[in-house]
Amino acid sequence: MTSDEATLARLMRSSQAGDAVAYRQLLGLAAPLLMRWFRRKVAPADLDDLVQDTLLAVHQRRASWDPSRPFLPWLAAIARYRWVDRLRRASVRNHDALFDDIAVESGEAALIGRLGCDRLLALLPPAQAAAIRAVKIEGLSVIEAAGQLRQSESMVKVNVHRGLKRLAALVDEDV
Amino acid sequence: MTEFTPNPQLEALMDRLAVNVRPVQPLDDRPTMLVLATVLLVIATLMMAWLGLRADLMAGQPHPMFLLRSGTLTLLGIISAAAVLSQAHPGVGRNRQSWGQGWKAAAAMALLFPLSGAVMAFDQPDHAMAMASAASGWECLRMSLLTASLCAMPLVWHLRRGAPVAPERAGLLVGLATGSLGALAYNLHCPFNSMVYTGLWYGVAVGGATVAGRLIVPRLIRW
Repeated sequence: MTSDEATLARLMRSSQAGDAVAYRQLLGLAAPLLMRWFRRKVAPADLDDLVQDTLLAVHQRRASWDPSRPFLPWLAAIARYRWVDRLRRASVRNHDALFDDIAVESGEAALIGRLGCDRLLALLPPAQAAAIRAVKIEGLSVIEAAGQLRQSESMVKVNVHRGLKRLAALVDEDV
Repeated sequence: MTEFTPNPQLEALMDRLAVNVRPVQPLDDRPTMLVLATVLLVIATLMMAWLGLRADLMAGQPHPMFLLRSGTLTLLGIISAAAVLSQAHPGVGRNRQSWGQGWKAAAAMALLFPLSGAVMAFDQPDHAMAMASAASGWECLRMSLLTASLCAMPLVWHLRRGAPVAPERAGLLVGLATGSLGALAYNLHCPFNSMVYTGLWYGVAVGGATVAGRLIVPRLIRW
């Protein structure tokens, strides 16, 4: 079964009606989509947790999907909200995520474009986006990021903090 | 494309969720809009029974300022309330569509009142001072905010049942919508037709409710 919009929307409609088989198929198709997307966004150690967290959110909030609207933008919004929430919590814990940058695969680029996270980062001021990419996505330490970005260490921290705050506010604005 | 490697823990979670799936009714905006309209109608009726209707309305000859104010507040209230309801159904890119942007245009139009009021206040400082110190201004503020608080309940309840992914924006919209509706209800009693009065006291009521919504509501709807 393919994870195209029509199939996913049909399965979600059946899931809202209580069809356990359709729901299991839907989750089975959504999980690899989320896994591929999140793989470029979080540390490998956090990947499973984030996918599970998002699937739980899908389960708890499934009534919020309007059957007259497309499914993938809804899934993308839920996924992005969980991702930003995790980044924010990680920021509070001052935990620098490690990141294993896997090459973009064919098909994945379209998915990422659809989910719009890179475009979301592009909406931030360049200094904030660069600090988040360096520290939160590429896994550099604050000292390494400061050297690479030619910002002071405190400026890197401020840019990460402000960028994440702005990112959270932007989470539902991007196309 | 990388093969998806099934993870036993993830598979177990999906199995468990599927076994426990129950039918759910897709979240419908219309009942909430109906409850909101009912709450507003009841409050406006009680307020009119207590404070009384404007004299020009009693005479069946509404003043142009009343009509302009009512129209603006009604439009702003309805468009913002619709934007609040749509916040319960997330979707990447949805804010660029329909209600996602309409409230901004309505708010910009409504801003003409405080702006015009400020210009006229510079021109007529004595009148502005009189309007600013009008005792009924505080009543306008109090009654509008009280009505706004009650109108906010069904909207917050709706958002809690949905999946708002921008809680700050949703909170701001709740405040804007309910502040406008609260001011609309009090407007049926308010005897003033001054642009300065309208710009100041109605502006403070709607602005105050918007700020309060932005600060309070996100804590109630975050998930």
